[in-house]
Amino acid sequence: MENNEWVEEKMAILQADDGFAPDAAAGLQRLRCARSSRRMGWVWAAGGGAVACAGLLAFPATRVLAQRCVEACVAETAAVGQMLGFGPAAPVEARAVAPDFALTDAEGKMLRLADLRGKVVLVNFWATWCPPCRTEIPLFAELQKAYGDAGFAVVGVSMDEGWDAVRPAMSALGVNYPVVLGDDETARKFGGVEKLPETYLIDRSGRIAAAHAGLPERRALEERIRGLLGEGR
Amino acid sequence: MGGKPAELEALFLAHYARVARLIARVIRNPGRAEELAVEVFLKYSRNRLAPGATAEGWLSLTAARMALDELRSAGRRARMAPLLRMAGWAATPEEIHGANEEQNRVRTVLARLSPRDAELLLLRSDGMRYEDMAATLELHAASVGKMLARAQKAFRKEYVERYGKQ
Repeated sequence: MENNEWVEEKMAILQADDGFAPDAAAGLQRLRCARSSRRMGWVWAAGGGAVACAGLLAFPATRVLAQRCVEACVAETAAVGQMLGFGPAAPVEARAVAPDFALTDAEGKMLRLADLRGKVVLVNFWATWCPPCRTEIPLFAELQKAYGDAGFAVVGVSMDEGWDAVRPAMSALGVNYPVVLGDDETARKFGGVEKLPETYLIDRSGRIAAAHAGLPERRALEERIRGLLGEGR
Repeated sequence: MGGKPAELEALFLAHYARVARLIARVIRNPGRAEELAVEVFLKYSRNRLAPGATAEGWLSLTAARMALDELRSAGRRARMAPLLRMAGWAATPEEIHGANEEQNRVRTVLARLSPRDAELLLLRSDGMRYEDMAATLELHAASVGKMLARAQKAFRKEYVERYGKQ
């Protein structure tokens, strides 16, 4: 047998495992999550670069170079305010009505977002396979504990495929608030949820006061929550 | 190269399954293949296409390279297995009970070839045409056939030396 036929025959033996069906939906969520995490990495690196370059400003010989470097780094870190700081709450008159959803929680009960009207609600889109999502969940649990009695409620919307991975993760992460299983329709209502995690703060009248993609910074988030809890009081 | 997120995601949905399957053929572990497939698209979003290359070809080549890197790493781990066992590391059941001995032989031989030879064989077995291979690998179209023939010869030589004429 000729070399090419012999080798092609051998190479044809290589097959993916029977029944291997790549899950494009889960893969796409992983891709979105990884892109979001890597952008955060760049932001931190640029912030570090700006600090390092600022040191060079002290010396006349390196001042011009340092100024250019700082400008470039600051341009990148400008995203920090939005990515970490959760941004300021929108003026009341500019807030859009939050989309409603009715989804089943981990205990099998129906949860309707509109039923939480009158409370300040934090809606967090997450998934078990998304590391930043797992990082921020204990913070949400703490906030639920601290401000729950004051009229604050957290709702987790898991974008996992089913409860098998979600229930153990809820237990491991100390989730003390309701989690529902989201779907494409829910994500579409909230603008597609292109990155995970994504978090929305909804005021007492059911309007979106602030939105944030990526890990939030605790102090800024807490300030927004306290501000919204105090509105109209 | 990844363009807007929507363009990247459209490309992802069109090619993810093919890329994951190509990787799974080489490394046998479906879960890991899916992780690496996502990495392929992340790399795509951060790189520039060479003139004349297509996104499809770039994805195939990158998938082949990442799968072969993973295969070589697994080979190094296997060679160090006695030492690792002494250190408390245990092989997975999958590694102990290879699903198919002949597949394992082909994978072992691929891991021993030069990266370029292994890439050529994988891309060809994935159905890529000569002209697409030339554009993807940045080769002259006329030389792809010769290089592929050399890769096939190297594969057969390595295989026969290891496992005899079969």
